[in-house]
Formats: sequence, structure tokens, C-alpha cells
Amino acid sequence: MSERSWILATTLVIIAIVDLALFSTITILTVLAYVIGALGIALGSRYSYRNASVLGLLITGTAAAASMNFTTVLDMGPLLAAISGLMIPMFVLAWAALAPSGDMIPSTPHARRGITLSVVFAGVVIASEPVATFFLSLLLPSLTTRFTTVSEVAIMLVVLTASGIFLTRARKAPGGRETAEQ
Amino acid sequence: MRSTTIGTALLSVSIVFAFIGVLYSNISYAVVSIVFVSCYVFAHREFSYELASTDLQIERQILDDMVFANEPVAVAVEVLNRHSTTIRGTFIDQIPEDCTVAAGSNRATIALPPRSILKLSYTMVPSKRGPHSIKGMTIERTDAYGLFTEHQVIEQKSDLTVHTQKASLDTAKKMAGREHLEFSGMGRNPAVVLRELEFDGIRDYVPGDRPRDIHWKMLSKLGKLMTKTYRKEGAVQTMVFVDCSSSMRLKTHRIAKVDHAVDLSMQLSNVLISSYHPTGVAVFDEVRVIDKVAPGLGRRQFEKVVKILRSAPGAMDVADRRSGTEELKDTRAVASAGAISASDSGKGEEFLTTLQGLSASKARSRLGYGLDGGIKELIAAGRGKEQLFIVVTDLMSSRNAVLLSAKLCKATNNRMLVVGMFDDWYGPDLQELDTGTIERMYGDLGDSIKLEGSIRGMGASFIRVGPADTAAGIARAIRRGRT
Repeated sequence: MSERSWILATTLVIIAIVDLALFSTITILTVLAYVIGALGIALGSRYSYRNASVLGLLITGTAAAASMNFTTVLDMGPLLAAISGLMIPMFVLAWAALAPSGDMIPSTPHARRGITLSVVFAGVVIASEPVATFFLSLLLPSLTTRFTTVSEVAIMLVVLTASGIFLTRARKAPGGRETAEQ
Repeated sequence: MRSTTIGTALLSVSIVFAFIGVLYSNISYAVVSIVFVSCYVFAHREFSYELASTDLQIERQILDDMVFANEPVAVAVEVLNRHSTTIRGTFIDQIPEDCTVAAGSNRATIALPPRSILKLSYTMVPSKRGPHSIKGMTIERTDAYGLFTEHQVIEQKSDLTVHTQKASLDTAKKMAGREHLEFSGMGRNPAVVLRELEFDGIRDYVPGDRPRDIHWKMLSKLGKLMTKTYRKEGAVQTMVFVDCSSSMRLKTHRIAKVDHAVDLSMQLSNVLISSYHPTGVAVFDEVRVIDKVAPGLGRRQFEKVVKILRSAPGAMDVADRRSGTEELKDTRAVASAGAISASDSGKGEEFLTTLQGLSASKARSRLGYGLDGGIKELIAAGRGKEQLFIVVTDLMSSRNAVLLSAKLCKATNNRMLVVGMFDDWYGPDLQELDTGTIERMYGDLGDSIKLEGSIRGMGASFIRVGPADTAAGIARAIRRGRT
């Protein structure tokens, strides 16, 4: 990775970690996990060693998920906190950990479209829960008052799985070759 | 498309986080899970697009004009990435099965940027004579994010015909002008007629006349030397037929009969050409004459002969001795029944289909269609001129064809020499012989001698050879009338 790209990646990692820390319940263990995770991602990017980066990403993700406790995304406050305090920094860290060496900024239009699609995909999954609740409230008003966190998570996971399968499905190209949908 | 360890780990952690989110009623885990799955989906789509849009231009050059068995051949490959995406992975040029890389490398692990060229150069050593094919290029693709891999094959075929070992060609060149099939001494009749002579008359001996033209019987009657004169003298056209049938191609031990046959044919052809005998070569299998060059003389004729012999099919390796013996037995059984069979795994179906067509239409045609068809054609083209046919065969798959051809040669006053490659001598060295093996070998030899008798009965000459026999030895045997 070039010096410029590495500086960019490290800066993004630090910003993302600070963002995560702002929304987290800070303990020694959390701080330690964030530091180790950030170091793993930064050094892995520096030396083009993706295993270290991904390990750092997983450590950071685990620490972040464990130190934040959102019980609903039906309210605006927790929803924005989940997006800005957890989802966006995790996306940045994932990009820094997985991005090819020297290619922090996507070079092709297709890659840029792909990133946009991924962010929209994640947004749709998160937003699916309020949308589903809205429609359910129209059909079964009494049910919405008994909506638990497990139900919310379940709705999100169902949408995540269904849309994930839809986006990665393979289909027959005109030439007869099995290719993924473009 | 396969997931790498990192990809599997990422997906597994996502699933685990989803479960934890449900178990502990905590949406944070679900959100992290969503992020990881989003990355996974994004990488999958990107890689699918990369694979579908791969546009490579592969140019491969075999840098050596003549490729010999067990000699290195240089190969240069250029791969141009014509698409706008970078191709990451290991590029492997697929060398043929019977070749090994001697120097350089046929693989490179790189990220090939758009509109850039990857150059590979290496030398490989083919271990076998015959046609070989570099089928294309394998790319062990990895995606840009390290989450997926794919085994991609880009087909770009390059054919190369590997000739016999270089030493054999060198021997053929060395033999030119040194060895002769005719005996120039007194009182010896050449075993194989190589000259077409038309008797004219007898005159008194003049110093300088060749000893072989002296009429020795008249010496006792007249008490003086008389010389036979000929109206026309010309070298007999010779055609060397190389049997490439399935039994010849089967390699049970060190050397396949077809390889030895190619070496002998090449060397004998050069001996004949260097002695100013118009010589041609034809390679045939059970059903057809694969390729041939008409008898001729001159500098280029030997090169043409070599080119034709290059097109002779390669040997087929037998996986183990047992299966080889079984296959040989099958071939023998088929040969004795007068039918034709082939067990070439590569062209098996096509070959059998051809045979079925032939056997369905003309029962007689399958009795050595390749050889006798070729000889008939040459006799017809020769317009009554005497010709010599040298057939290098193991008398197994083409046994009936050889017998039919010998009969044909006798009927048309042409000559035939059969160089019979005795099959048992090409088999593995047997350290411990059991009674069954000895009886079988004895039976084989008996059959071969009977067959030799049949061939000789039809006026053809016969010489039995093994893997240790050389072209020089065969030429010597012919010269001395031991055929």
C-alpha cells in the first residue's frame, strides 16, 4: 500500500474508532479491544496482510456490538445512533480492512456503484423493521404494541437473508454461461 | 465461486452475531451482522462482474521450429488484459501432461491491471513423441477483497508436434552416405531388388565394367568374360509404410513400437535417399493412410519424410503391466479374428464410429484398409513400374492388411520387405518366468514364425526386429541377404 493510501486508511480507522467509542459504554476491555482492532486493521493494511486486518475488524466489531445496547430501532434516536454510531463506522473499518492494497478509493464505476448498493442494502435492512411495523400496524394494530426486540431482530434478519440471496443469485447469461446477476 | 477462509470467517461471524442478537435481545449485534453481510454481498457481486467481464487476449509462441522428445522447447506467452478491471490471481499456462517445466516458470501470481500485459517465458521438456497440445491458461482467481476464489480456464490452444529424440535424427543424418542397402561385391545377389533393370544383351567384357554385370556362367562356356548390358537402368521407387495402429502405439515398457518404427523408418529412408533411391514415407493405421509423401529424391525429400513422420500418432501409456497385458491380449484376439479394434481413450468413440461405418458397408474393406489401400493406390500410380514397399509393423492390428498387401505385391510383380517388430521383445523384462508365461511366449514366437512363413510364401522378404535393433543393423542384414 502506498504511503498516501495508508495515511488515508489510518485516518479513517481512527475516526471510525473514535466514533464507535463515542457511542459505546467505555470500559478498559472495550478500549483495549478497540486499540488492538485498530492496530490490526492499520498494520494489516500497511503490510497488505489481510488476515490481520480482518481479525482486527472482527475484534472491533465484537467489542462495538458488546458495548452498545440498542433494544429498538422504531424510535428515531436509537435508529440514528445505530446508523451513525455503529453501522457507518463499521462500514468504514470493513472497507479499510478488506480494500485491496493501494486501492482505497474505488477505481471503476462498477465498484462505486457496488459500494452505493451495499450501503443502500444495509439501509434497507435496517429500515425494513420500521416499514414492516408500519404495515403491520395498519393490518393488525394490536400486534404493534407487543413488538419485542427479538421480533425486530427477526424481521431484520429475514429481510437480510432474503435480500442477500436475491442479490447474490446466479442466472443464465444469454450465452448459456452461469453468471451472477449484474 | 468458492469462499475463502476469510470470507467463510466473516460470514460465520455474521451468523453468530445474528444468533447473539436474537438470544440477548440486542440489536447492536444484528447491525454488525448486517454490515458484514453487506460487505460479503458486495464482494460477491464485484467478483461475479469481474469473472463475467474477463477479456483476455493470450498469444503463445513455440519458439523452436523443431521439437524433439526429451529436449527443451521454449515457450513465450503474452496475456493482455483488455477489460477495465484488474485481474488478480495465479496465471498458469497449462502444459501438456507429458511435459515438464525445465526452466523459467509457467505460472505467475500477480494483479494484472487493465490494458496491461503479462509475459511468461519458460522451457518445457516433452517426454513423448507425438502431437501435444497446450490447451489454455488456468487462472486461480481471487477477488479484490480476498473473500472469494474461482478456478477459471481461458482456452487458447497451441499445438506442437514432438518429434522423436534428437539423437535419432542425428543418427539418420550420420548414416546418409555411409550405409547402403545394396551389396556392391561380387557374386552376391541383393536380397531386396533396388534397381529396375531391363536386359538388353551380352557383349565382351571391357575393363571398367561392374563385377555384378559380368555373366559368370558364360565364363565356363566361352572361357572369356562377357558383360550383361541393360537398356534402361533406374532405381526402384521405395515407399516405407509405418504402422501406427493401436497395438503399435501401446507402450508396455521402455519404448513403444511406434516410436521405434518411426526412428527406423526415418533412418532407413535417409539411407535410401542418400543412395539415390527415390523414397517416400506413409503412416497408416487400421483404417486409413494418415499422411504420406510420395517417393522422391533431393535435399528436401528427407525433410519432407521427417515432417510426415512427425505426424505419426504418439504412444499410449499403459497404467500398469496387468492392464497392458490385458489390452495386448485383446489386440491379439482382435487381430487373429480379423477384426480391427482400438482402445485409444482420446479418440475411442470417434474411431469406433468410423469402424462401425466401415464394417457395416464393406466387410472386406476392414481387412487392412489402411495399408493395402495405400499400396493399391501407389501401384496404380506407378503404371507397371516395379516398386519396393517396406512395411514396418508388429503384425498384430494390421496383420491381415500386410498379408493382403504381400499377395497384392506378388500379383503385380512388386517387392515387399516386412520389418516385423516382435511384440514380446518390447514388453517388460521378466525376471521370474512362470510356466504360463514361457508357454505364452513360445506360442507367440511360433505364431510369428508361421506368419513369417506365410509372408515369405507370398514372395515378400521378412526381418524380425526388437528394441535393440538399429537401422544400421537392418541395413546390414538386408545387404547381406539375411531377409
